[in-house]
Amino acid sequence: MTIMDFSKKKKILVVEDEVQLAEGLEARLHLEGYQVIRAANGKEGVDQARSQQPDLVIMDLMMPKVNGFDACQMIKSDDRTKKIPVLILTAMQTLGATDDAFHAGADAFLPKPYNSERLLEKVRRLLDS
Amino acid sequence: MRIPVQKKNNAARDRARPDQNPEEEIAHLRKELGDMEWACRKTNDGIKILYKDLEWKNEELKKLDKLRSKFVSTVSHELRTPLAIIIQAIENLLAGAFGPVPEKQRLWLDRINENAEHLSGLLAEILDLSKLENGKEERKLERFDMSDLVRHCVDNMQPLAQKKNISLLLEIPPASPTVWASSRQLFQVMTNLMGNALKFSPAGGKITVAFEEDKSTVRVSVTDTGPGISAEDLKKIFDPFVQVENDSSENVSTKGIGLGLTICREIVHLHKGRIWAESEPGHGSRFVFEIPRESQ
Amino acid sequence: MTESQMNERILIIDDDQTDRKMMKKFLEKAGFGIISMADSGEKGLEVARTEKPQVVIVDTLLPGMDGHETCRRIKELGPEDLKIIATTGAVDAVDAGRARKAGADDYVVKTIDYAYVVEAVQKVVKGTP
Repeated sequence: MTIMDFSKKKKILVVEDEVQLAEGLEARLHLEGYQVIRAANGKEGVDQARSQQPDLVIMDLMMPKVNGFDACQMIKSDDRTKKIPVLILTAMQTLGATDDAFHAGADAFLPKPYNSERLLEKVRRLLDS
Repeated sequence: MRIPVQKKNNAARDRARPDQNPEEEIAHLRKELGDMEWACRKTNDGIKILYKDLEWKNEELKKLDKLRSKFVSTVSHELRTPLAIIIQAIENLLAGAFGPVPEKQRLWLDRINENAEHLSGLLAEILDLSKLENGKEERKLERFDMSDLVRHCVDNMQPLAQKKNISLLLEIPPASPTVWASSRQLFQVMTNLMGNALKFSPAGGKITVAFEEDKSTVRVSVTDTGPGISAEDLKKIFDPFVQVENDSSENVSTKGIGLGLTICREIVHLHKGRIWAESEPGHGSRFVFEIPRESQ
Repeated sequence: MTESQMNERILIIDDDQTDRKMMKKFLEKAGFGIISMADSGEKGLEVARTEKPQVVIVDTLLPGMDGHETCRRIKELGPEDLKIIATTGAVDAVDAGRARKAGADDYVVKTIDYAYVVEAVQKVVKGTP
């Protein structure tokens, strides 16, 4: 367990339409000392990224309204949000999905179901950069 | 097949007699021409029908293929999501996110977690095989150094090997053998073979990964000091859902679904290579795969 | 579907059970009422002698006495307006020529859609060439 530094609490935006998955992710990140805000679909995700300026965005690929690829592209092409690292989580495991994710500008990629340790490792790495 | 006498007489009758008069001959030739034209016409009609039949069969096959793809992608998402939720919830509990976990409960939570991870692995294998068999697997072919891949895989396996106190030996010749193939798929093959070797090797054992190459092919072998495989099992070991009895694995969570080697075989065959195993009970096993350097 | 079709006597000579059954089914659906079957040339000849069919469907490839020979012999039995349809699983011009020489009135390929065979039977019954 990491020691929480209140003055520099990192803010993570979780964009995931599956409520139970989002809640689980939030609980785990909370435990690690991160502040978590949530969005239920791609469009909300992009809006939240712009208004809340999180330190990291964790996003699912398959979502209603605006999906993960498009949302990621939008975040990365907008001057206000393009510096925010994006980690993509997905149940889709095709080579094509990985390529697309990176072309959309994602900074990291993790297939579902994922191991909490690996997730936290990637989160730490992306927040440090 | 005996040709009946009757037939011979008919054939003779059909042939023009040398002492026929010209009118008879012309009439005869006209009939021959008519018959040939009839035969050609009927054949053409038949070919058109067969073509339509083929088109219809093709459409049905395409429909079936679409259905299969849909199945794979639906199963992929629908099964993985609940599994992810389960694993995540257990990990949260175990990490103490909702309060301390008493030792007694921890054991059972660990058990749930192990099996959920195992399910996840099985699901991944089934989908992998399904995609490979249906040709839905998108392969990126590239030129790379095979020894790098082997080295990378061995490095990955080190932590696990150390836990069981198994030594990993790597024998790579000085030259750098490059191949044109799918590095991701071959990495999967290496990981599978090494994973098996680790699973079946006793503590203190030794696993040797050796490398051979010539102008046109590259060969990788994984040798372990495990219990070996009987001649009977050796015949079916690459078949799907075949598992070899292993005394050291009592937990269901360490048993596979028997698809690992099948997936290896599919991948190696896709590369137009071959894969085989050499073993004797009590004398360890040696798994070898060989692929042409310019793969398809 | 006409009155004459219902009373038309048809004989199917084919050693493939599926083909025989399917052709009978298709013919019955088209309104043909009296259909007998035989699985070899010799048996077919016997049935032809006793039942005196008006249309005979014979496969060109038969074990024992071949389809063309069977066709010839049945044609010899008469009557003059007896019609013979030669069928085959594989279209071949030489085979078609032999069928013609043996006295066949049509040469039709058998596919999943046996309707083409039925069509041929309907054509000879109507008297259209």
